[in-house]
Amino acid sequence: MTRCNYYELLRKLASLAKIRLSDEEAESLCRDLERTAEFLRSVSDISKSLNVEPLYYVWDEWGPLRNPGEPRTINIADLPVRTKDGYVKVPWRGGRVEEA
Amino acid sequence: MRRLKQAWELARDFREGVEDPVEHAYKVLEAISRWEGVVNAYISLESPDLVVEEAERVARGIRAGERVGKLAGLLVSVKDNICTSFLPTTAGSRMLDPYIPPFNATVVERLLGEDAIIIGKTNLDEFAMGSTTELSAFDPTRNPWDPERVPGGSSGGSAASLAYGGSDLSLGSDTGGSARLPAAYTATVGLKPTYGLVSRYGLIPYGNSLEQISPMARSVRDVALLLDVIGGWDPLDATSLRVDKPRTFTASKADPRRVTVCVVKELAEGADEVIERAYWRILKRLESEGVELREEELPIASKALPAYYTIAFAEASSNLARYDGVFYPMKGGGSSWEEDVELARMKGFGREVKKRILMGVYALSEGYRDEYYVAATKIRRVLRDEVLRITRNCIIASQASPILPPRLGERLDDPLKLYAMDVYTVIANLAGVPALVQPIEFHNGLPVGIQWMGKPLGEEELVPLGLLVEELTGLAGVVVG
Repeated sequence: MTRCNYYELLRKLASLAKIRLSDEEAESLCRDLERTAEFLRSVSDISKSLNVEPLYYVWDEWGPLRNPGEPRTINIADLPVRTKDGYVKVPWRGGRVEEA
Repeated sequence: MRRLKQAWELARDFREGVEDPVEHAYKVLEAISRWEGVVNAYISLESPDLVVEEAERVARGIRAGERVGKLAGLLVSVKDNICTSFLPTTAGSRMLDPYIPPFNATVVERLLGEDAIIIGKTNLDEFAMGSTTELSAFDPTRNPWDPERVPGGSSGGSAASLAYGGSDLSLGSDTGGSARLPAAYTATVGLKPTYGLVSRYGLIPYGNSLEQISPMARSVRDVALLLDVIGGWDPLDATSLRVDKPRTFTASKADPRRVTVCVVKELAEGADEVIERAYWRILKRLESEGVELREEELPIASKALPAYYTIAFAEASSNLARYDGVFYPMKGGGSSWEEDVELARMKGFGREVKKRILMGVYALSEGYRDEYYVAATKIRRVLRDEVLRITRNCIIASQASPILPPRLGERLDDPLKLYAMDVYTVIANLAGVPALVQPIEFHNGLPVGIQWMGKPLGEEELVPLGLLVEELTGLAGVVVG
């Protein structure tokens, strides 16, 4: 079986991502990786000619949707659900709200 | 094809005593039992007894003259990547089978607050990564209009449940077209809201900077009804915009003489001939009604697809790092922590998810980051600025999909063919603007849709245009059969 050019890279990426791959799966993913990487690389050439800053958050500093000076945080005072001791209940951690 | 009452009409008729919520619940349950064996729109369904009990509760409340919510008696399906504490939430993955979240997503709380009855959780491509709903760990969903074809994805289960009458309204999510592509393939309506208008709290994340929970329905007015309920600021989501709740439901049909539509060359070309013909037919029809058509160009659109996928992969690799075989159902069973994590991720993730994580790690790696991720985010800035410039003065008319719904398996062997299905829809996610897809006609029994893109918070302009188009096409409320 001919290994694709990205085989060693794929193994390294799988190790970083902590995903174990069977040999068969690695072979097939490697071919996809090669094609997809080539496709995505097309952003690189054009971006070199763009004299702009990266955009990570779509409403970053733009227009009427947010105040640029506003901190990008959740305000604890806005969180509605509290335990009887007044602690903020963080629902994604589980637990239950005790009766106040 | 037949027509059902729109959800807002049903809700009104329940309140006025013209229709009985219990009788309606039985009708929807009957449609589910008739179609689910073929279509597989749902991953989990609420017990029929509970659904009927809830409908009886609503009916009793109405008879007693109590104030009921805007969605009282309506049966709403919810995509299975939106957390519910009363039904499992798998995101279409073995990794989360059977995860029952300890909380409800904000949108679910808002549905329940308006007396909606949540009937079940709908199928999706694993972690919403796909465009066909074939990549679910719980078998593919089929298109009710032709079961040999896909319903689009990743919110294919939501769209399919609407298309056969198995729900009145549905919640999908849209990272790069995941609510709009299924809408185009099933003759339903999907609206990707302005980024930040709808809370993402409780949405299992894939690409945080791109995705929005999205209302789906069989008519534009129904989508507006659902948007008004789920939209508005949420303190639990740091990216939620501090804006008033949307008010789109009461909007009137647009006066065509006051509407300007921009035909962006790059978003009007490149689709199959039947789709391009349908697109031009509806635009000419609108023009004859008085709508002004204007030409625009968006050259950077040719780089939108690779920029979108680079950003989505990068965000996916970060978001899915949390699945380590400890906190969630899938366990690795290894002899060390390291091995445990690797085995859990090997067994829990499907092939496409693994590929996207690996590509994301690649795009973020030292030495490649500037070439991929940073380059994509620069393209995003240029594209966003251009879209904002165009939508300041008009609504963009775009194709929704380059092809009719493909047959099952047709797009799976080549990843680039699969990604190309999103070529027209990713623009709105990169730019953060709202986008609505609605049906415009049928070709050989298969639906064809069109996409409208507006300015930020321009849902209040998209809905009136959608209502105008719906009046011209007469396709509100259609289902199979």
